[in-house]
Parts: sequence; structure tokens; C-alpha cells
Amino acid sequence: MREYAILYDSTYCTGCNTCSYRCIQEFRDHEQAARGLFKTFVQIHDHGMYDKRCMHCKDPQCVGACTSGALTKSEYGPVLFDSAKCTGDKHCVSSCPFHAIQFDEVAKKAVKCSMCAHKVSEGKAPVCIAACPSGALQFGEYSAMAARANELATSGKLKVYGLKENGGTNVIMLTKEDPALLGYPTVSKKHLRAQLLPDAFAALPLVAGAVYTGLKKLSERRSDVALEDTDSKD
Amino acid sequence: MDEIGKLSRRGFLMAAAGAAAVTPAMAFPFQNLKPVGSFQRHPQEQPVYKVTKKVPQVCARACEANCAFDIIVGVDPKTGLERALTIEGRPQDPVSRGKYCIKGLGYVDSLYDPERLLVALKRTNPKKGIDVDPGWVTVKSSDAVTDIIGVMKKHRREELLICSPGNPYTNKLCKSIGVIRSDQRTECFGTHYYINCLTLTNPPNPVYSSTYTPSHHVPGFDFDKCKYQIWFGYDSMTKLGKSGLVNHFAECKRNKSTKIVMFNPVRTPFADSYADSYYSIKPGTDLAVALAIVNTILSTNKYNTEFLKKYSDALALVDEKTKLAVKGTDGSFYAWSTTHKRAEPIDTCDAPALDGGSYTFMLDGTQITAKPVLQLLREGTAQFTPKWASSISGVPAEAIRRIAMEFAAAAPFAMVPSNKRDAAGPNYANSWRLRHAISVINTLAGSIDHEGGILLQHDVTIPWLEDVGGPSPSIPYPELPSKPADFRTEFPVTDDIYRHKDFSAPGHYGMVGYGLYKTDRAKVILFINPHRGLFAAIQPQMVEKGLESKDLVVDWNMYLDDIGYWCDYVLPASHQYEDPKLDVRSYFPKHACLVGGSPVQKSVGDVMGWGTIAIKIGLAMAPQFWTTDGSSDPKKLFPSNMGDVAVKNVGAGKNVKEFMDKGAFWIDERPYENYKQIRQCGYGRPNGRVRMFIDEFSRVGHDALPNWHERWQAPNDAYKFSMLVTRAPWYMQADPNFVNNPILKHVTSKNFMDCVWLSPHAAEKLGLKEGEEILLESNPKYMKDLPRPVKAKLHLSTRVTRDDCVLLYHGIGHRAKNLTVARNYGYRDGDLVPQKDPSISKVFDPLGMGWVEDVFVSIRKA
Repeated sequence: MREYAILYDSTYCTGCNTCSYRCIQEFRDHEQAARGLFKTFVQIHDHGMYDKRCMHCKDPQCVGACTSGALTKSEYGPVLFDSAKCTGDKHCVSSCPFHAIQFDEVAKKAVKCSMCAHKVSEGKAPVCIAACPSGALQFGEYSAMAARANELATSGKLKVYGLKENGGTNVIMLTKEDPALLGYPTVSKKHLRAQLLPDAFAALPLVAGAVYTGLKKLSERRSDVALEDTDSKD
Repeated sequence: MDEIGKLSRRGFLMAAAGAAAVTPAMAFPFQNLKPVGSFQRHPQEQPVYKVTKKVPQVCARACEANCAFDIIVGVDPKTGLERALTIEGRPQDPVSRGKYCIKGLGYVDSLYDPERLLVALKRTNPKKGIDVDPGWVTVKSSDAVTDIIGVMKKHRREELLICSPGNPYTNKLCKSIGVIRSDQRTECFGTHYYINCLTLTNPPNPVYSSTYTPSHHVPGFDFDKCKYQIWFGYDSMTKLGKSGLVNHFAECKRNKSTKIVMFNPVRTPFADSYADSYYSIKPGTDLAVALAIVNTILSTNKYNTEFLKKYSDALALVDEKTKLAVKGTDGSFYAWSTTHKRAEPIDTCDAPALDGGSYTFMLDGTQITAKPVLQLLREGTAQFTPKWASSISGVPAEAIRRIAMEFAAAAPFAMVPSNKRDAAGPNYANSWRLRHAISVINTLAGSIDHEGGILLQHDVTIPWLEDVGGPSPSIPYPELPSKPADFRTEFPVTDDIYRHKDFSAPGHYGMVGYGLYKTDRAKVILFINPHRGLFAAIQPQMVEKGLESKDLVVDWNMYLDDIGYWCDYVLPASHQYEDPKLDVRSYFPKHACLVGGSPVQKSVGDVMGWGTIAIKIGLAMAPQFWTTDGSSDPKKLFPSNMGDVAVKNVGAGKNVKEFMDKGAFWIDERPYENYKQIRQCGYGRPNGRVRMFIDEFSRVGHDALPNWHERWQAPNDAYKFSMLVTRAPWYMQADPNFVNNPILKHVTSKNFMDCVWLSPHAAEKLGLKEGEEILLESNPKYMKDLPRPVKAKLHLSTRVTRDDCVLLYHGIGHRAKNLTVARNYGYRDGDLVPQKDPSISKVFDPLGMGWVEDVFVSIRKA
């Protein structure tokens, strides 16, 4: 199955928020948007644009944090959200390193982008991409978007955000200035789990060592038992 | 040990193998991967709504681009009812190319705004004011119109004023009943249209009337093929949302096909990402830079000689005594033949002189001493060097020189685009001079009516009502009032165009408030809004005061807006998506093109279309101009099928219905023929030319060629902040369709566009901090009557690049109680801009426009 990604080149973005409004109309999210909750939103900063949206992490913490199974990572890119399963525990909100997940206090549900999974399933791009008048938002296979991001970053001397942050995401941002200046959270390029635990493969010798020690103990015990039996027969 | 070794080795290997299998499965990147393997299993993979139809439409009210798209109609999952849901682009539209904007989307939702006016209202409390209960009762719209006609008939036509854009029905109504029409969009549109008329289009002509140019601007711009552009404030915040333009800008950026130089005291996102060079400029001084560009091009002889000789008035002789162009009895220009040593008609002149003189000759028994226009331009701009311009504007001299040379080198694929909210709009008293200078720069480049430059509409037009059916020309229309409330008669240059050449030309709304307040000229006022109201007026408090004592005030509007609180009747208006449309793509007229739009739904409530109302009034008050037999019988109305005629003329269908059935789109993709259109609509037709020398200005004591002039207002220690005005990209003026939208309110607030913006350094000097409430006041030297200081929240931004400027956002600050979202949100910039005393206005500006930014304010903590 193909894996998809969104590429946002902020050097084309004018901050018009047509993407934001088109998203609202697509999902009929008017009531929550009227409360200030937007699945995607562009803020015009003094130094550039901040496009705040779910980054669709490759290994999303929110999925692990969710106790109801409402959040799942798909093979084709988006982190999907089943509103019916959401119990409103907000663990996803606090676990998101990009602070992208919002919580609707009225509906008691999480709010986040789905990368228009219903469109992707029809072979179409998310509605925000189609709506973007300048082509700042692009969509395609992950490898192509990543390659394009690197190419544009090199040729345009741009910063890349989302390619490696949190271990990688399916939303890649390009900015002229330091993303932190624009409001993007500073997120480690290593996944949080990898920061806390050794690498899985580095753990193997430890595991092997533990197994060996256990078996050695078992063998010694068997020997001890055998010796005890011999002693008792005498 | 051997046993252990044997056992543990085997066991160890098995255990290790097992651990090796398990451990990676717990690690990155496989944890939490719950494959949603095939589509259509997860709820978010299901379509959200069912589409039932797609209705073509053309956006006619949000900006000048007039994008064509389809409205998606489907079943709303929340209610199960069919409604307009969103928009899908129409890629074949050469303007929008499949794009649309947030305003177009907002319009979809506004169809269902719960505060939309659906019934006609009649006041029962005669006391007017925003805080006074009008005592509204609902009446039938048709009964209200009958009452209104009754009052109109009791007044002389000099006492009637219709404030409306120049649409076909307003034009005809005003002409037939002999009433002045004042266009409330003058502040935005007037300067460009009049300068275009005086330089390019010489109305009436086969193609243009102000009615059908969406911003009254006339030409379009070929961004796609242009190599060099100079923007004098063209990169306003408002344009950030204009998808019909942005899609072209983005393509140029992608192709690296154009270089753009921007001048603006505000550093917009356009400047960040689309400009090759950006210069912070002192507000109101763009004229100095433009004049220096003219000076540089002329002094280095880098102008397009062939274009100037063949398609402009550069050769035309100007009488030094009268300061008027020398013309023959047939109106043709004269040029000086360097071989025959005499004045000859310009089109047949042998070896005409582009410069030199004075040349003395006899013409029709009179001795004339004259010089060619280009010579006068050269002499007139000799002092406006880049160094001089730099001292005024703050832009480095070397940059101005370099820009002028680069521009000339790229010509004719070089242009200066300009539109309503930029510095060449109506923003300053000297803006008309800047707009004139821009036209001269484009003329020197030969980029007018050329690919990659200024495009002129051709081979498609929509006729006036009178063109498809009307009374015999032997029945003259009544004389128009000689003392109108908008004082347009004080400005003969524009009044002449309005009365004799293009009745749809913009009016003088910059003085309507003054006229209503200071005089009793107008007693009955009809505002054909439907979405601008008081906000389209500068110093609206003067309009409010003036309206208090009038005999009848009516507003045709989609909402009970602020102005409604001074009205006797408010009639519900249709939504633009409920109207049929036909548009000629005049913002990008590369190819002759027509796009059509169908109503998404019938107008709701007791809405009467403005055309229907105009016909009713016309039949009651001047039937001889409306019916074939001069009676008031509506069955005898003259034909009004302008759309059918337009469509049939280009072969796009037998009539509009067929055109719509065939897809509501027609285009003739023949390559653009450079310089063909000038001949058809220019001066001196049939060999039309563009003009640089406007002797209409000479006749009223102003400069016929661009000249330097200071701003109207000057700063002092107390009032030192130059007021800049812009608009949020998702708002269209003060239209409640957007400002009353709760979602757009959040978008505005999150972007601080409900605040007044100041540079951090300027704020620090004033001791002001982010988020504080501040008070802005106008200089009482200029705002003599009814001052109304503005209280607003402050936002600090380095995008305001100068410490002597303050940036305000237009369109917010509604006070109407019934607009629950818009009410008390933000502030009203217009309260700070004085209405113009016409006796002062005409000293500075022969067009009589609004000067919305020619204001210096004081700022202090509230």
C-alpha cells in the first residue's frame, strides 16, 4: 500500500486560510470552528507562516496514549480518529509533542485532521490541497514529497520541519526562518520512546544476557537437584 | 558446564531467537501500527456528505477577480436537508484556473446566516440612531416599494439621491427619472476608472463601461507572461486572499518568470515570499518614485519609440498658450513633420518629431506655438531625479535608477499593475497623480495592450439595457440635477464623463456625507447596498447626522446593518449566489471569454430583486422610458435580455439558457493581438491612441502631465502617525456576510486583524504594550465637524516597517444590535477620515475622490 504525505511550502503561502475554511465545510465542522477549533489553521507571524495541523507522525504518541482505541495509525499515512470511540480522556492532547490535537469542551471529543482519508481512498488529494490557491500545499507519495522537500530546502535555503521531528511525520513543512520563530514547537528529531529506551536492537544483547543468566541458574539448579538425589541414594 | 553449555546453548539459542523475534516487534516503528489495511473500513474513510448537484456560479462581489466556480449542493449530514455545502473550482476559467477563495466559501455559508434579512421593515419611531429602537414592523416588500414611490413622487427629482453602483437597472432608472446616482464605492474605485477613461478607453466605446468592469478598473494584467513588475502598494493584505490573482502570482514564482519590486510601508507576506526586492516607503510618496522612474527612462532614452509614435499621443502637439492638445476639426491630433517643417495630422505626419520645439505654425487662421507631448513630459520631469525622489520617499536613489533601467529593459513585458486599495487608489490627494504617472510609465514601456503587460478586453461585451430595447432617441432623458448632494458638478472632469460618456462611472461618495450633513439638497435617499452601508462612507458619523432629518431613507440590504438604524424602510436583498450571472473576465482578458452562473436557490423570504424594484419605480415615475407604448403596463416593458444578446453576438449560444446548458463557458483562444484594442477604444478613433497628456486637467487648472504634489495632510508633533488602511484577506469591505460569520471572526482574531498595528519601536516610545487599549484621534484642523475618536486594541508587529505609521483594518466595528457576531467587534477606521469640503477637494484633486489614507492621527493609551 502506498504511503502518502502532505508537503507545505510556506514560501508560497499567503495566509489566506482558504484551506482552513474548506476543511470546515468538508467535514461540516462549523459549530466547533465557531468555538475557535480548527483542524488546520495558518497564522500570519511577523517572520512567516505557522500552519498548525496534525503532523500525522509515523509513530504517534497519541495512539499509544489513547485508552479507547479511538486513534489509529494507518499504513497509508494519516492518523485516523474514530470520534464514536473517543471517551474524552484528553491523553492524546497532552501526549502530542506538536500540540496539534485540540479538545472540544462542548462535544467532549478530540479535534484533529484526518488527511481527508475519505478523499485519499478515492484517489484524490485532501480538500485543503485542492483549495490552496498558490500551491503551497502539495500532496503525494511520501518518498516523492520527502525528496521534493529536501530538494526545495537545498535550492531555496529553507528549513525542513516534520521530516525527522518525533522520528518522522507524514506532514513536511518548509520555512524560510527557524520554525520555532514562527510558533512551531521544538520537537526532538528522535522519537520520544527512543530517547527514553535503548534502541531495540541494542537491547538484544541485554535480553540475551538475561536469558543466558536465567538458563544458567536453571541448569545449576538441576545439577544441584541431581547431586541431592545422588546423595540421598547413598 | 557442558550440560549447561549443551542445554543452554540450545536453549539459549531458542530463547534468543524468541527474544529476537519479539523485541523488534515492540520497538519503533512497528508499535501502535494497527494496519487499517484496506479502505472503506474506518469511519473517516466514508464520504461526509452526498452531492446532489453542482451549480456554476461567478463570484461578483468579493473582489475584482470574479472567479468562476461550481457550488456543491448536497445533503447536509446534520439535518438531512439539501443545501449549498461548499465550492469546487472550474479549471477552464482563465482567471481562477480552478481556484476559489475563503470569501467565496464564506458566501456559501452566508446563504443560511440566521441574521439574514428576509422581510421588509418599516420604522414606526421617527427618531433615528444606533441606540434608538426604530419600532420596526414588518411589511410586504411590494407594499413598502409602493409607499416609497409615493414619497418619491412628492419630491422634485433634484431632491432624490440613489446611492448605488452603476448596474444596468440603476443606470436606466436614474436617467429616466432624472436623478443623480452616487456610487458608494468611489473611495475604492473612482480614481482608477477615471484615469483609465482619460488615458485609455475614451468612453463611450465598443467595449467598456464601468458597469461591467468589476472594480471599474478597465484593463486586466498579464502576470503570466510579464517579466518585470513594479508594485506601488499593490501587495495589500487584502490581496492575500484573492485566489484569482494569487494563482497567477504563484505560477510566475514557480517558473521564475517575473521579477517583482514592491514598495509598501507594510511588509506583507507577499513581500516576504513573492518580491525580488522590497522597499519600505514613506506613505503617500510613491508618486515621487514613479516620477523618478519616468525621469530615468526619458533621460536615458529607454522608452519604446515605436509604440509611442504609433499608439500614443507622444507626438501630439500641445499649444503652449492654452495648454491644450492641438486638434483638427475632426478631433485628430497634430504632430510636427521634421521634413516638411509643418504641423500635420498625426496619423499621416511625415517623420514626426518626438521631442524638440517650440514649433510655430498656423492652423485654421490662428498662430500656434507648440511642443510634442513627450518633450513636455521630458521637461516636466527633468527635476524629478532618483536622488530627489530618495530624499522624499526614503527609497535609495540607486535602487530607483536600477529599477527604472531594469523595467525599461524588460519592456514591453513590463508593467505597473494597480488597483483600488493600493497607493494609486483613492488613498491620497495625490493618488490620481500617481495613477496618471503609472499610466505614463506603462505607455513609455509600450506594455499597454500587449502580452505580458496591460491587457484590454476585446471581442466580447455585454450591452446596456438601452442597447437591447429602449425608447426612441428622440425622447430625451430629463436633465440631471445641477446641484447634486455629492457635489459632482464641482468636478467637471469626472462629471463630464458621467453625464455624457459613461453613466455608470463612479460617483463622489467622498462628499455625499458632507452634502447630506451641510445641505438639504437630497431629501430622499435610496441605498442600494447590499452590503456596504455606512462603512463605504468615510466619516460615517457625518452621514448618520445628515440622514437624521431626511424625509425618506431606504436601504436594500441582505442584513439590517448599521445604516438601517437611520432608515425608514429596509428591504431584503438577494444573495449573490441566488442571482444569475454573466461575466466577461475583464480582470484577465487575454482571450474573449464568457462565464455564466445560475442561482443556487430561489431567493428566500420576501426578497425583491433590485431590477424588479427599479422597474416598479420606473413604471410609476417615467413609464415613457420603460414601455413600448409609454404606459405603466408591465406587460409592455422593453426587452431586457442583455445576456441573450451578449451570448448570441459571440456565437456562444442562441440565448443564455442554451449557453448555460452547454456548460456556462465560452472562450476564443486565439492568441492575443497586441495593440489591436487601442485602435478600437483609444483616443482619435479609428486609429485610437492612449494619452499621456490629459488636457481636461488643464481646463480646470491642474497639471495635464504627472507632477509632484505633497500630501493633503501634514504631520505635526501631536498628529504624527500616518494612517494606513487595509483589510483582512477574508473580509470584503464591511460586508456582514463575512464580518457576521463567527468562524471568520476567530480567523481574524487569531491573526490580530481586529487590532490596530504599530511597530514595536514606535509603541515603546509611546510607552504602549501589546494588547493595550489605545485611542486614535484625527487632527481637528482637518476633521472640523463631528470628530469621533477610535478606541482599539493594539498589536505590535514588525510588519509595520516605519515608526511614523499605524495600520488599521477596514470592515469591522459594526454597531447594529442584530448582527450578533459583528456587533462591537473591532473598531471603525472610517470614523477618522474626514469627509471632503468640495472647495478644498478640487484644489488638490480634479477627480474629487475620497483620500481615505491622507490622515495623520494621534495615539495614546485609552
